[in-house]
Amino acid sequence: MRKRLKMIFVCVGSIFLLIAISTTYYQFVSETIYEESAAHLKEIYHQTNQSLHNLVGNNWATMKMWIPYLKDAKDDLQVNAYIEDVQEKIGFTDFYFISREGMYQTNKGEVGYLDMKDQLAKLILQDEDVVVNSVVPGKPEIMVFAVPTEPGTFRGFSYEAIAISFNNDDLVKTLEISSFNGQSSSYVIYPDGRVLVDNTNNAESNVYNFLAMLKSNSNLDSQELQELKKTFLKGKSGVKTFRIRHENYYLVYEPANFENWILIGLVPTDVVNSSMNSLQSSTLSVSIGVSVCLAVVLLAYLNRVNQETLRKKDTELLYREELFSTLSNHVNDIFIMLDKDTFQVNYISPNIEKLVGISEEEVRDDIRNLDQVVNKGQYDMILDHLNDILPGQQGEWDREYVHQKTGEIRWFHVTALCREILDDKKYILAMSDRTKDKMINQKLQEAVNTAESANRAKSTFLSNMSHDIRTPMNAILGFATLASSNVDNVDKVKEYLSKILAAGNHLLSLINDVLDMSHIESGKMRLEETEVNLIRILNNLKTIIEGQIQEKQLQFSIDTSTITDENVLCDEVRLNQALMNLLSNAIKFTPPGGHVSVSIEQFPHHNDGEAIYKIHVKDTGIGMPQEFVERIFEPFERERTSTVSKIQGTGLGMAITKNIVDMMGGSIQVYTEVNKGTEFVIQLTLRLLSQQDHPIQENQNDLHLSDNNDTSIFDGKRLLIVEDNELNREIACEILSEYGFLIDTAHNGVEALDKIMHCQDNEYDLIIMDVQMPIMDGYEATRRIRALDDPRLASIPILAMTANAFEEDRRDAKECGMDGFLSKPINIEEIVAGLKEVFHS
Amino acid sequence: MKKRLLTMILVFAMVMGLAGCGTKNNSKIEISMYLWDKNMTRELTPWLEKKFPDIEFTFVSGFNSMDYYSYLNDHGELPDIITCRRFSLNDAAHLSNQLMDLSETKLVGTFYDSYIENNRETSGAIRWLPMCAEVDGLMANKDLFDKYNIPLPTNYQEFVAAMKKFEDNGVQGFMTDFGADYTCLEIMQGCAIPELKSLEGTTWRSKYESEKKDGEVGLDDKVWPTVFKKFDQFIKDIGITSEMMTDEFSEIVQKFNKGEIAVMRATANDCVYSRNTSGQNTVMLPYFGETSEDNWILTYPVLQTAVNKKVEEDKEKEEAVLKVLEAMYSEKGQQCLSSGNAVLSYNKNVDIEINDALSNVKDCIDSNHMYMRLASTEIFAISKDVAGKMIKGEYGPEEAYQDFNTQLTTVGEVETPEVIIKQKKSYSYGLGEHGNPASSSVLNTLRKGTDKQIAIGFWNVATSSVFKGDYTQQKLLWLFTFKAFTKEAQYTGEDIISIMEWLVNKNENGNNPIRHKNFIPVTSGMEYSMKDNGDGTYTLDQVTINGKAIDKKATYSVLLVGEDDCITNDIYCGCPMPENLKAKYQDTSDDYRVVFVNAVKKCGQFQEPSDYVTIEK
Repeated sequence: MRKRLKMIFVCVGSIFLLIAISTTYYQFVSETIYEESAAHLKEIYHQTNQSLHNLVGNNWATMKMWIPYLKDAKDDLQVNAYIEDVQEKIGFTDFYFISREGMYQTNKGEVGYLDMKDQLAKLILQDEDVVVNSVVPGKPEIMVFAVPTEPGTFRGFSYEAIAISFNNDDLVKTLEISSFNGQSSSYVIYPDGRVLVDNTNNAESNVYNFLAMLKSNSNLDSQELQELKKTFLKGKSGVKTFRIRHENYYLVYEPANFENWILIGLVPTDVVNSSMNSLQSSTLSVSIGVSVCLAVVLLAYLNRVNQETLRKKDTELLYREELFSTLSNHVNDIFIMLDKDTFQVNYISPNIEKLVGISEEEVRDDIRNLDQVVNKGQYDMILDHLNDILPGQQGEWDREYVHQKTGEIRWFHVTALCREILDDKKYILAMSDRTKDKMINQKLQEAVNTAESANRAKSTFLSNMSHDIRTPMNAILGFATLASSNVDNVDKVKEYLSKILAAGNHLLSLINDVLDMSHIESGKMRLEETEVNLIRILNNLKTIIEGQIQEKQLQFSIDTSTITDENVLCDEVRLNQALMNLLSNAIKFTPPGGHVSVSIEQFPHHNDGEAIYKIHVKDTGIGMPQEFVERIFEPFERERTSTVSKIQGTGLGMAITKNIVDMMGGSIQVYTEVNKGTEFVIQLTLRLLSQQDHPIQENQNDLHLSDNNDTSIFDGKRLLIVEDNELNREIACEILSEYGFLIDTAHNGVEALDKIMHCQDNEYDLIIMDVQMPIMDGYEATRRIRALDDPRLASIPILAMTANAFEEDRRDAKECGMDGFLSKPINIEEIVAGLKEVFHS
Repeated sequence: MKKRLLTMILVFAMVMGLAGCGTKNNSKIEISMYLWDKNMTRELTPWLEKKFPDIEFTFVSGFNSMDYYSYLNDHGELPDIITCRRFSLNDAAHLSNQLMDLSETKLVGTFYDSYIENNRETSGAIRWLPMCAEVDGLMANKDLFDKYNIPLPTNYQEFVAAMKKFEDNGVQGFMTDFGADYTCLEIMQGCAIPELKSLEGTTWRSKYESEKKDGEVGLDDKVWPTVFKKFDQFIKDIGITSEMMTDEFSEIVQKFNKGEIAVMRATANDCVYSRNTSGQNTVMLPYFGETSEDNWILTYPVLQTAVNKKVEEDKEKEEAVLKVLEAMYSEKGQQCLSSGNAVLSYNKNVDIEINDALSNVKDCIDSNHMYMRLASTEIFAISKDVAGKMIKGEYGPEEAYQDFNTQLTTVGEVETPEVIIKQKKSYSYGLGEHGNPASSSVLNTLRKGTDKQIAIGFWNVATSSVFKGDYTQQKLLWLFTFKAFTKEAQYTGEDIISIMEWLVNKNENGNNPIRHKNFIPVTSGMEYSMKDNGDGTYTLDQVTINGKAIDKKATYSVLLVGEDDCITNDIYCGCPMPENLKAKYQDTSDDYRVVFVNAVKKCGQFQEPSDYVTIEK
């Protein structure tokens, strides 16, 4: 770049040098020509002036020669003849005898007054020769040459001077110059420019005042004209060049040496310099030719360099354009350039259609078209933003656009700058698509909200659990304390123990519900569809709650009259649980004398083999306010706390119910009115089961329940209770001992395995195995027992007894070889039932 | 306040227009030109207006006096182009700094040196350009000569004899207006032209005309005694009496035209005019010498022209003014001014054909026996004084010479003229929308001063603005129109309408009474409106008094101010005043100038101007 600049400087310098040399040469030649021509002209006009001077001098001298002859002439006739003779030779117009009054008489007898102004006094009184411009009416302007004489008379006319006159036009011949092909002009003028004699080449005819002619037609300004006039007045000679109209002239001036006349020569410079100009033109032509050639070569070189530079710049520009275009198409930024004053769009990146769904042309037509596609609620206009940005400043704002083709909302961050480009003020807009960032932020925000919500839920849960667990625990501990201090009072102890038992049961149900809820929320709950009879389910439920109904003196009714298909596939346990929750609530919140009802309606389903069932659980209880209804299915929501309502509940029942219904693909609706009652409607789509094809067996539990009280089969049976917790072990031992079992204990799986392996003669009929134990857990111990070589030992029935009461725990227990499952805390009825089942089988 | 401001702006524009400062109007170049005599409106001004449609001319009828232009100059109203007949370099010297040097113009180059050199200042500048030579001499009624079989004289003796013969026949041979200074000057110099043109005479004249301060050069003691002797002889030979010391030139002309007078002093122009109007065969005679070869005619330029130096400030205007001057000095321009009555053009490019009336002085012309009068203001004044005394017989030629010489060389203390009024307000000159304020002020003053209900000026009665400050009698007279009369009458409203119709409307013969828009009639105590027909003619619309139509039957006391000759005469407008109107007016008891001065005195101030005319386009 620097090298190229240097080269350009050298080239330009060379051209300037060439021009300077040419100019200097031209000036030198011009000055030489001027000097030569001026000298030439001065010489020519000096000769002309000399001719004029000679003419005047000769006239005076000649007339003086005549004086003696006139004086000595015999008579007037001789005088007249002599005058006519010299007139013919010299060619003057008239001959005058002049009186001292200025009167004249010609040799032909004409008389008159010759107006010589003050020259008359000079002539007569001072005896000087004079030449004067005069006029006689009716005749052309004349130049009078007069010399004084001794007083004389001619034809009676007394005279003191004689004079001859020439018409001014005749004097012109004196000024004629043979040179310059008749293209020169000569004048005799007064210093103020008045023309005395005019020998023009007709180019400047009727020049009455030479200075006035120059003022009107030449390029001389008034100051130059005044200088020229002063030069004339001082009687100086010289040469000057100037332009008259469009032609250059040489002006030669020289005083005429008598009166104050000035001889003027005016010749076109072209005429004077014709030969010199030819030489100058030839030289100049060659110089110009060489210069032009050099210039052409130089220009060609510069042009080539320039083209190369331009080509590179074009390529760079192309690359940049391509790069920018590609970038524009692949980035999520839209670039727009528009004029500050007119808002005319100068550039818009082509990706605008991709990002906003509006075409380039629409935006080019009017930038305000962008305002047409903004999202609802954004009323600020793009021009409002731009108008606030002054040159050199930057503005930023966010904008939501609705993609015109997909309809999606896209978030943009707009950065606008005002810059001056090539004297024009432009706005440059970078519209950066921040939709992804916005979405991520939204999700993050949702996650944060969720986390915060979960945290809040956990806090709420803990708070609720703390309250709900402490409440029965308070009762248990309180009444246990009262019982221990009233040991002697059997009635009170019984009463206290019954309340402890109730509180314990409530606590247990609370824990079960919490576990169920936890199970549901963790997604571990699975529905296990079995063949069920809906009517039977309702009847069983009636059986379970009948005690409570009677206790609260409620009316209860079941309506299954619309059911045509009562056998369906369904998870009976969970359906029971859901309905039980609803019924428990109905009983719980219906005051004595109220009515609780359950009804099932069947509706056809478009799929064959399926039907829609609506199960209504309705009461005439206290009802719920609407705001509570909206939160009724949220965990731990109760209309009033148990403390206030005196009605116990975990607050998880409805949440569990809703989750169960949801898992079954159904829905649950609530219709309630405060103090009027509540109705829950569960709608389920269930697969139908033909009763003929799949007769449902009566629940065996019912059979077992019938002889539930018969525990004689337990007598003498040997039990090994494997439990690491001493209290649990003790409770189990005490309870089961009361049923006739012979009990041995082990503290962990190893100890149990050891006892099994070393027992004698089928010492144990049954093993009740805790699952979670130190050293070896129940599952491992079971697997080891089942793996014993002695088949008799390996087949000893093993019942799991664990606080892990979920279905998968049951499944795990079964898989490792256990024969049954008892959940903690120990429910005597359950344990007895379980043991009976083992021994029966 | 608004009206006052508008008036001030209007006044300023008018003053600037007159002073030559406002140069363009509607893209026209404005040129103000003062006319030494209304005679110039006859042919010259219409011709110039037609020739230069891009120039807006303001013509003002002024005075034939350098002092008048000095007066205008003192008040900043020197016009762009000045014309004046009475001229001498001495008189014009004090205006030199205000006038343009024309010596280097093309126009000056067209002059014969012999004639233009007379106007060259010692600095070399030429500021005044002479217009062709007017002949001023003796006008003779040749028919009368023929009637009494008296040959036209060829020398002084024959002239004296002829005059006696006329006296013998009961006809007045010679009569002229010795009450006019120019008549005294011209006849006094005319009697002794050979002496004045002698070497001594021309040498003295050259010395006198180049004197640098007043009184520096007295009369030449060789030339001038003869002048008075010859004039004294002329008085005696011709029988000049003090009865001839009248300035009623027109009355003498009337008598001359009726054949009651054989010879009178007049110009060639008067001669042709008289010939044309009376039908008499009038001819010009020279001032006679002892022999016919000593006869001379007295000449002077028809006028001299100068240009305001301020014109140089605007090159465009300067060019325009010089073009106007070139036109004036062209052959056609000179014909317009002299109507063929001049004898000689001073310009090389102009030939003048001599009128028949000058045939009798052709020899003088051919032999260049043409004397240019010595015409400085002081010579005019002294000539009148001395000639009057000689005619009255108060003294002889020697005393006359002494008296003349004394007056010429004595520079006494200038008597401070009496201040008649101290004018407090100024009123501009120039035609505005509703008339010329200065003219209106002058006429309102006249009307009030003469206790008339209505005053009518035939044309502009003012010659310049009414200036603030002291007014002497001379200044008052310079303000008032030159050559006018004042008549008074009792006219009915109908008569007044007829007067205005006469002054405004084109007459039945197609003659236009308004020579130029600057010269429209002025009224006081009444207003009139007229329509501008666009061709230089106007049509009277209505005449009102205070906005109400004039009562045709009512009688009003009216003062007429004007010079009906310029309107009536064929060679001017050819619009004679209806006889019925003429019959009702009578001369005022005093001369028009006295009437005016008295009116001003009586009023104490010039009256406020009024809107007296509305010109509708």
